[in-house]
Amino acid sequence: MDKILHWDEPIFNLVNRYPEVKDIMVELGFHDIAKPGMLQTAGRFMTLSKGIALKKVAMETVERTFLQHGFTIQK
Amino acid sequence: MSELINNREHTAQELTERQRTLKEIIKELHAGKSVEEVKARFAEAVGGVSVAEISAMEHALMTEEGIPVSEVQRLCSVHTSIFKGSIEDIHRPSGPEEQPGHPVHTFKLENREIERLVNFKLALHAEQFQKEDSPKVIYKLLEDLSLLMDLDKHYSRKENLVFPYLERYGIFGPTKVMWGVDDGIRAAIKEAKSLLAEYNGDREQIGKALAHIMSEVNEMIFKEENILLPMALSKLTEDEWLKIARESEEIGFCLTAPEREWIPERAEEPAEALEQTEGTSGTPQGFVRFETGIVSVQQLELLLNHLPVDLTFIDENDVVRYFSHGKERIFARTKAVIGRTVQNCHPPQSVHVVEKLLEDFKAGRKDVEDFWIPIKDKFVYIRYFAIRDAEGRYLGTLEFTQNIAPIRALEGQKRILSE
Repeated sequence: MDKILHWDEPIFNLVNRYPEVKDIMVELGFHDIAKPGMLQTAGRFMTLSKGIALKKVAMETVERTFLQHGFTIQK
Repeated sequence: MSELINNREHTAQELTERQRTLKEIIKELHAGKSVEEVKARFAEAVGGVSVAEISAMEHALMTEEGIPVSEVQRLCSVHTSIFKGSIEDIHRPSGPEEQPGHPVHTFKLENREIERLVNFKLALHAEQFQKEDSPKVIYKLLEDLSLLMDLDKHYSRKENLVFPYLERYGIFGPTKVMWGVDDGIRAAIKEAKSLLAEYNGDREQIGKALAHIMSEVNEMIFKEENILLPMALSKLTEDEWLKIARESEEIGFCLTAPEREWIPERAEEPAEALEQTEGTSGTPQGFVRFETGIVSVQQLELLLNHLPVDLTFIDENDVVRYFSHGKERIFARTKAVIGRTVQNCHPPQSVHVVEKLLEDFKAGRKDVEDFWIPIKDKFVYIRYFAIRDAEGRYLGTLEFTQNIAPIRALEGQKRILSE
């Protein structure tokens, strides 16, 4: 059964559904997400698509990393 | 958000293609075609366009096509009128925050100016500098950075007006983190300025410093507009935005200013009620009886405001209770700080100093602590006094800030009788 993430879904929702998403995000360089209070507040407005624009991470890298952890990103 | 993703999907080649079309359109304009004529072609060729893209294109026009800066600047107004349509079509006005004078509107307005300064002027001069590190170019860079320092006001309004309300809604972490980044940007600009002022021939060092500033400033704009402001909009009430709008002037604006006061579409009555509850209108009644005299509340307030020093008082729970409001306050204070704990009113980098000080005061290890710092033409003497009752119980701390430059400059003597 595939675990699906959406580009435009708030990170807060994604992590609530799959807690391991948080660690994967940190691994990808989104360190702020681990800071206290971030997920519950900023995380409601932050999405994967905003994250790649902000941190200038390649979309492919994000997709590949999530794929390695068994996630499919859906547009 | 879909436009962002689509942008990402474009290959580098497609992006250059788009920029080439944009350049052609600009050149057509330059050749004398009317705005209306090119508008259609523009809409067809480019769906949505980001400000960054416009900047990149303008940059390319100057560097690759050799069009002088003055010409590109002359065209700027034309670009704006064309691009405005397409940018606004994507972001159709939808709420009060789109109205001029609303704090969010003002923040975004400032961001557009900051972008222009950073991605257009500063980027251009930084590039010139790498080719030719002449005093002329250094001077231009210094000028850009001095202008950019204006974003201190943008950040200060965010930190002192918006953050307090977010904290009221339990949002602490993100505001602290952002404040820290703001301070980092301020420091980076100062650092780059001093590097340029004492230029030692290290082009690479300055190039790096400038590139760092440009990317940090742009990243902050992104964070503000995609995370912070939407978050604030979802939490704060209209009354709170009104208060922020009213107190904004105290701190000032960055590179631009709201074109008018924001008046929400509702009736005027709540605004009056707001003032009454805040006690900002009318003369406060009553007298205060001291051991050594009696003064009216009005007299007391005026008296404190006429002292040539700035006073701020926090109570035993570290909550800001009062600040005096003299003509020339050295550090801006806004009413929003009242009722906030002092830890949330200081930049995270210096908050530990404040905490240590308060700890010493509370433990009775100290009664006073002084700091002095030169700020521009001022010499600021900051004193902290532990306020204790007759039994020595700690009741709070008084911050006493004074510009002592004129006092330090005194020489000789002046007697009552001397003329």
